[in-house]
Amino acid sequence: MKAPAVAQPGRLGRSIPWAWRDGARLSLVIGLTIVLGMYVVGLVAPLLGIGDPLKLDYDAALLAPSVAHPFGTDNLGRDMLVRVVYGTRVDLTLGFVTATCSMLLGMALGVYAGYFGGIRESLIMRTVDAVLSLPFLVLVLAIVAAVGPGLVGVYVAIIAVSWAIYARISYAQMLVLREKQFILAARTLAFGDARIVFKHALPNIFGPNIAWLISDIIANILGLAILSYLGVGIQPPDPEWGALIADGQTYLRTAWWISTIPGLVLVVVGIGFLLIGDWFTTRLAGNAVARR
Amino acid sequence: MDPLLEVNGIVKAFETRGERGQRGRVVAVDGVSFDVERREILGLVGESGSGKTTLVRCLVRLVEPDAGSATFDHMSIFDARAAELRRIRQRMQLIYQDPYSSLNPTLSVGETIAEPARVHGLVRGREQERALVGDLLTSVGLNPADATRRPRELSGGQRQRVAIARGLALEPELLIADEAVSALDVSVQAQILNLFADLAEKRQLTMILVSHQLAVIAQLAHRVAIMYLGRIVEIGSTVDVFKRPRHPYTAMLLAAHPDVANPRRSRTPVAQGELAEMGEAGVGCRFRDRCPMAQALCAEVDPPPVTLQDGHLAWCHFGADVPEAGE
Amino acid sequence: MIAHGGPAGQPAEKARDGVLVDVRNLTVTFPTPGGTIRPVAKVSFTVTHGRTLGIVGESGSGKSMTLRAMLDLVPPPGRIEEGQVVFDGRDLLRLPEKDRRSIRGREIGIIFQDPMASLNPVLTVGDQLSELLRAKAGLGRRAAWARAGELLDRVGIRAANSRLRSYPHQFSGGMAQRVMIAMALGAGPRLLLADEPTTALDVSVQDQVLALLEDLRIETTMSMIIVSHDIGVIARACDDVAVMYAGMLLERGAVAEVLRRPRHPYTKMLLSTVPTLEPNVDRRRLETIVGQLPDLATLTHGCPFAPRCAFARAECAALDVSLDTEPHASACPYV
Repeated sequence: MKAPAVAQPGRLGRSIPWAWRDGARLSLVIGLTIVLGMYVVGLVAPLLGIGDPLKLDYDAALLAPSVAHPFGTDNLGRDMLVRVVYGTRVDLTLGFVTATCSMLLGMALGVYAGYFGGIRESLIMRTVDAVLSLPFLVLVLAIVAAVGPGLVGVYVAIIAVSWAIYARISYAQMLVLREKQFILAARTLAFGDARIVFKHALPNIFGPNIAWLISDIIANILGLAILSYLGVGIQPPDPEWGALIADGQTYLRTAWWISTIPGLVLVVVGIGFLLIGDWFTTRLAGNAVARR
Repeated sequence: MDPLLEVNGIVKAFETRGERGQRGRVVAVDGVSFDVERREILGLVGESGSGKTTLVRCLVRLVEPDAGSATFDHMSIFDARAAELRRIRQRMQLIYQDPYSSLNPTLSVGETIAEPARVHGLVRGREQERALVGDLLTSVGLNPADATRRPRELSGGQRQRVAIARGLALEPELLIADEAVSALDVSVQAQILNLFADLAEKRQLTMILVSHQLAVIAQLAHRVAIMYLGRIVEIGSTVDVFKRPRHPYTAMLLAAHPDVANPRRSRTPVAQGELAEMGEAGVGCRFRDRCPMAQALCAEVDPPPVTLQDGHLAWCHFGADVPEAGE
Repeated sequence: MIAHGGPAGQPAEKARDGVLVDVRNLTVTFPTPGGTIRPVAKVSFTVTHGRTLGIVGESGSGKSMTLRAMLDLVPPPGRIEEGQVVFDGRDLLRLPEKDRRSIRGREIGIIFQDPMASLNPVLTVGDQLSELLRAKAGLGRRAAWARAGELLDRVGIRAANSRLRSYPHQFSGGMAQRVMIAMALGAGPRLLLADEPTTALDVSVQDQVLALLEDLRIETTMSMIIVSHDIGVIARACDDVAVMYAGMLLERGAVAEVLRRPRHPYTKMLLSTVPTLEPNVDRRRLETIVGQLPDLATLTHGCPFAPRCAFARAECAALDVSLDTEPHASACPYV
């Protein structure tokens, strides 16, 4: 009896649910659940009628976590759970928006510099060097100081600083792509520059940019948290995780939940994004290998 | 004769930087001239450093030459401005070497082939596009159903066929294949070479076949030009050049080529020395360092072309004296 | 180490006369999303003292993996499923890693396709060579340096002693490959394995490198195994040839025999697709083999070449593919 030339794939391969098929996919599922779950809850919060984050209740001040107040209350009697949930809207929105805007801006400039070269390349890339050589927070603080405290200032400041890395990533990718034969082919096929850049180059540049984007979202949320903690970000009484952490500082020994729980939430969201990023980079690496 | 492509005196040099920061200049193409007649297949043979790839890139203006002229159907290639250049490019297509990087991985096969036709206005609307893609895929030996697939799902040979289909989408008159079969397996190579022959016949194509593989040239090319360090050293019909090479380099190449029918086991190599460093364009024959027939004259005077037969030229002072194979 | 345990360090059996390497039923498996594939399937061949064997095949034939498997260098998650590699009476696959490593450097030398990728770019060639000699041949510093110079000279590098101080990137492709050969020869191996040694080189340089290998072989009675997709290289450099397809050995015999009178349909058809230097005045088309190379994951029973074979018959799908026992052996019993 001759053994088959190829071993049959295990039956297990068919009965494992989609989500558990491999480690990377599991990361994606868990990560997305955390992040999207929180974001959706935050967005629909007003409709859910869980409470008012700004409602003061001096009688209920500094209550430890309980069934009535799962995250406890702060010194002004405001329910922490509600404040954390409302804070989600602010933080995650900022994370997504700033990171995406930075990416789009950075990609545009980096690709432009890489494709056309010459003085345009020098101007853009030297600016990138300048921005990247200064510490993130110092620059952000400087810009916020100029624009004034408040969420708008934070958005502007973060975008103005974050775009540079995307530009550098995209520029490097563009340099490599420029010599790839399919780009050369596009030129000999007499395609216009715009078409070559947008249709042929950009789709191939998204990969590393999105990989960075995912960790950038977290970095930006942390940035906002730090700025709010310092008092120059979101203004009280609006809830935001960093602000909540700042509020609870004086009560760390007595009412630990006011600072700690928002901090933990921040960590959990961070893990969620990391898991998504993990899946993405695995997939990106896998594609690169499969290409051959 | 009314050649489709006339090339005259193309020169292209590159600036280099040495290890210690010294500036240097490498003359990749050093005064190359030749014609390509309509419907002929011209082979361009050379090893690394011969300048053949740079030459081809100059012809399609991926790179601007430093000097020289080239006309396509009597239109100047290097003087052409945007619109005219577009028109010329439409009629002159290039098939690249590496099937793994010559197709955009994010586009489907159908889109890769249809896009050039769409951009140049040769098809209008989905229906026409689909018909064109189907036709082209069939003519390169693929299944029209493959139009929805991505490059990563295809083998090297299949990808190269797609690259050829894309090249044909604009209905060019001249097809330049730059080492188009070098990256393919032996059995696949044969299929693609046959495909080129069929297409050339059916579509009345003129072709320039660039390759370092002499057997490929022997199979397809009517005429062949041998390049060494930026210059053409011999040109003529394939039969003349391969049967009775008149330049020592050509003779060396032919002898060094392994011959499956007559395997030669020997401890003595045919070739002497290694490729000299490409450098500044000096005087004299660039092959003299490795040439068994070199003499003082070779270092002093650029070898002039010696006409041996009709259309068969060799750039060697002693071209007529190159021994027969086996002498 | 081999997947199935075996008594470590015991000789498989007494070495047959004149046979330096005896590979038996070497099989490598590799798990993939599409199922487990066998890049090397029951491959058996021998290499006699002083002779050169060429392994020829196209992509996916398993020729490079065979070489790796012989040295137990199969990259995970691949593994050696079964087989023996008897080198001088000892089964390499069942030796302790320490012994195997010592054989690898000393008695078996290896050269790979891209010399630039195999040489350390930050060390001079002399440093790399002499380090190797000190480790593998037990030479002292000065002796190793002197020997390194001799080796470079032996492989045809002019001004060898001063070139010892050069870095790999200062060598051209052909010269770098010669350096690789010098390194492989360093400890005086009895067997040299070469994986596509000339693929990255120009034709004229390829001829020189092959001539060098031939010269060395004659002088040192070293045996060689050369893996190449280029039949011309095999023709130029080898005594015997083994033809692989989809992981299986389909034909084996003396080079002149196999090239002039191929037995297996694959070999026959492959040879007829190779263009020659004879100018094609009649504008004939080349013979081709229909179809494409098989996807190892979708292989079924029987002869892997059957779907493309002009001589295929119903029995081919149930064939137990193995070489017959002729000196010029073929795995096809019908042709």
